[in-house]
Amino acid sequence: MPLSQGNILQPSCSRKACRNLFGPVDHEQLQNDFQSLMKAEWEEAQRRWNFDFETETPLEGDYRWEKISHINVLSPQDLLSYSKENSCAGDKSLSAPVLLKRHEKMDNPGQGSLEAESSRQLKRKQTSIKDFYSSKRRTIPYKANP
Amino acid sequence: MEELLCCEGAAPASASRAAPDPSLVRDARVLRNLLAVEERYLPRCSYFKCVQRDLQPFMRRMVATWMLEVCEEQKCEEEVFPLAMNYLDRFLSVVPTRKCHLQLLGAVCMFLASKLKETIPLTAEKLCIYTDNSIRPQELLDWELVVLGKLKWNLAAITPHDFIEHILRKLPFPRDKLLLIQKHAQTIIALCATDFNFAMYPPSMIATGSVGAAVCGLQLDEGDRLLSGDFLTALLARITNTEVDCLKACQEQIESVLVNNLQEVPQHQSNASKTMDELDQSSTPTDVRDINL
Repeated sequence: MPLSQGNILQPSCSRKACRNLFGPVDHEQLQNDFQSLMKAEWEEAQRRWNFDFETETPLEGDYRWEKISHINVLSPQDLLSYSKENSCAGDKSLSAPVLLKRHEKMDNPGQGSLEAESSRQLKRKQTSIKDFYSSKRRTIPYKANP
Repeated sequence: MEELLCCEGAAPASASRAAPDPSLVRDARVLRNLLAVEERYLPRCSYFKCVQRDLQPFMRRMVATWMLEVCEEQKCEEEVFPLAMNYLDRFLSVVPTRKCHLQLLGAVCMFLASKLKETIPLTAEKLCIYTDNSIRPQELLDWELVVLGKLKWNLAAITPHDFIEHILRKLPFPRDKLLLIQKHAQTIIALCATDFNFAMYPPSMIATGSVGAAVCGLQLDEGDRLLSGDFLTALLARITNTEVDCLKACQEQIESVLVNNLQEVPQHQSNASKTMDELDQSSTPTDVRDINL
């Protein structure tokens, strides 16, 4: 049962602090504003990472995205991001586990080329898109898998 | 057979609290780092001039006053309100917002700040009730995502509260006086957060100015020449590396806001004044009206 229906909170409604400050809210307009702001956010993310997050397909751009299915070569840190990815991806990756990983990680699972990225991750502990999908500056042309 | 005794209090409303960590307060690096990064979390511009068309400063004040009332009534941790105002200002400095959506935004900001700082955070349903049900919980959750995106998920902003302990431990007052100063300074910080003139000030300056105003307001500076006026300002300025003149100006501005607020409210004094018991239970700062100037 939603809290608002409960009688515990009803008395607080009569209190002075429960008030509508600026008149009625146009819920349709609110929804439209929400949609357009979110759309802009998605487009920005798509541009930034050249990745279509809706269809989960790589696009042309600075980053090269690759599918990864063999997890045994990944370090524990990578495994962590794998499980996160798996739990977030929902039913879109039903058959084989699909993970997009940075190319060098495959060749060199040790520190090496990861340094720049991991030191940055240490500085700001926030989850970034790279925790789910790592990527690499594009060096050669790449075509998305059909 | 011996009786078993359970000493655990069944008081779900009062969240357990960590003891103050001396290694955080005594280490000079902590203060140095706070000072180094605080400006990253300031709003980008004076947004009423350059971003907003539908909003005016008095509306920010209305929503801020309401937010403070909600935080007090819900006995939120004292940093929740200033943190929520930081989110609100940072959002408004980048997104043009309609007047009729401002209260929703205020609710979203309290929702986020409470989740970051509190053991038992405010619920979406409760916040919607506080808007007189003018918004729906789902709308609050939708806009939470918008606000998070615009803040770039940078929620651990520095507020004036982060500096208070660092400042107080360097002041030569007895412990009971320090607690009193702290309570008053917290109230003053909340008051500053309702006033847009302070929105672009670095939190360390608001913290030092508030402590200075609290010491003066409590008249603790009398009788001790070393703690009076200019000496105190110089000491405070040194602690947070603030320019003495800036700090002085800030403190004067705080004092004039205090005076204005005291003039506005005396007619409500009788029903709004809190009992000592309430004050002890609540971590929300002392009522503005309890401060004497």
